[in-house]
Amino acid sequence: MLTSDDPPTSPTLMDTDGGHIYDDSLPDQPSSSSFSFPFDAGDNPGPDGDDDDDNDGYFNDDIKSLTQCWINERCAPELLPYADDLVRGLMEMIEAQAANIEARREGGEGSGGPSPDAAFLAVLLQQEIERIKFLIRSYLRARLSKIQQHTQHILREELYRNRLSPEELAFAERFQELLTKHFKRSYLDDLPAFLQKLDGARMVSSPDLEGAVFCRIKEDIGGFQLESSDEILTMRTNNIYFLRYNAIRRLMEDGKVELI
Amino acid sequence: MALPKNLRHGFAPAEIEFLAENEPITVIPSQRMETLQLINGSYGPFRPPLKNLVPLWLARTLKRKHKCNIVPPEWMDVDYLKAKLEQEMSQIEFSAMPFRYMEIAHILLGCASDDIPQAETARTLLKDLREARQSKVRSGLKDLDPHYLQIDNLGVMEINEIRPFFSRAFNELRVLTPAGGAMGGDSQTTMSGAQSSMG
Repeated sequence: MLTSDDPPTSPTLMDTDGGHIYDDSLPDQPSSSSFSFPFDAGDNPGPDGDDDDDNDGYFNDDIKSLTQCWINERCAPELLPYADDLVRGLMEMIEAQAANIEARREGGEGSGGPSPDAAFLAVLLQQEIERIKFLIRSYLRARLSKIQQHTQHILREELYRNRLSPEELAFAERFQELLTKHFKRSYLDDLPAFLQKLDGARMVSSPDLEGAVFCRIKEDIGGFQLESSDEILTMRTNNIYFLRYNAIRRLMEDGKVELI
Repeated sequence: MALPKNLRHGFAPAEIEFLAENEPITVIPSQRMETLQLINGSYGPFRPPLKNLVPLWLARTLKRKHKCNIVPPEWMDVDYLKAKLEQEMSQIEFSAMPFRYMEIAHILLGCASDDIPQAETARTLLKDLREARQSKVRSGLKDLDPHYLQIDNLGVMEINEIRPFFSRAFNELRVLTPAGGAMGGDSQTTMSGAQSSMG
């Protein structure tokens, strides 16, 4: 899921394979973590000199990856695999970052509270946290919405059932239970037995996989045969198509196409 | 429901703008600032007059606090936009604009119009460009078939605008077309069909 384009990394924060460096020590001992925060540079009055130590730029692709997961989830008719690693990793990073902001705010470095500059930096860090929180929330909501829409189908099909996180599975089962109970109590129990089924043929709603989606080609694919017609498309990077979801479903799973 | 109805088939303009705020943009800081170590990556140190490349949301916050000036992207240049507009009027295809040009322009004109040379002219040109493209989109609707439509160079905001109508029309056409309808009728069967036939 993580496309590792090997961004210029410092040995800190980034660790594309093993997840995030945060795992053990955080958020209890923020100061001992290898993740240094901007305030550290301001601790010592030393001007330019020690900035250089912090200069190794790092870049973390997780937000970008989760953003695309969010877009795909919102656009695709079916439920997609859950981006477990990304969500968990980002949540941990948010916690660590928040703990550090808090620690610095309280700490004041013995000089009587943070300077206005440090306070402003904290605002910026906080702003990023809010953005990521929004992203995660909206991603989860998009999934919940699909789960509510096709609960039975998702619970029944192995493929989709496996795509649920444990929490989502618990939600889906509980939701279905409530729904069934409600239907039974309100009218099903009064009907003849042969009309009481809730999962008969054509009674379970499933996503329309032939529904139209917009997508952008991420890498040259070349000739591509559409199932629904004899035409062969030549798909090149950055082409934008409007077509049936089923046609590009595989390409999207392989990361060659993104929904927009 | 978990997602309001209007968000279930597409994005709200504010969400599209949220996405655009991740795009990188060049700023010239107006005061010194330490390296900013965000979760997304590190930015800075900020040393005027050296330029920094930062996400748009960060640039906007800095700009609002008068801590930087924003270097507008080349495509917001008035002469460039004039040429684009002319191109847009004279050719059938959409002229190549950045994928998120509308949102970026909207944000920049909102928060940093003093950094954009001839901002008002640029605004007008962008509006004309948008209208020219919109009318092209509308006339392109007649080419819609239940198979596919190629719409290179269309921006994401423009796509999001046409999404509800185009999707609906596409799906109606699909049902009406016998060839596609034969296999598209029951989503249960096509689901497994697609998996085996696409290699």
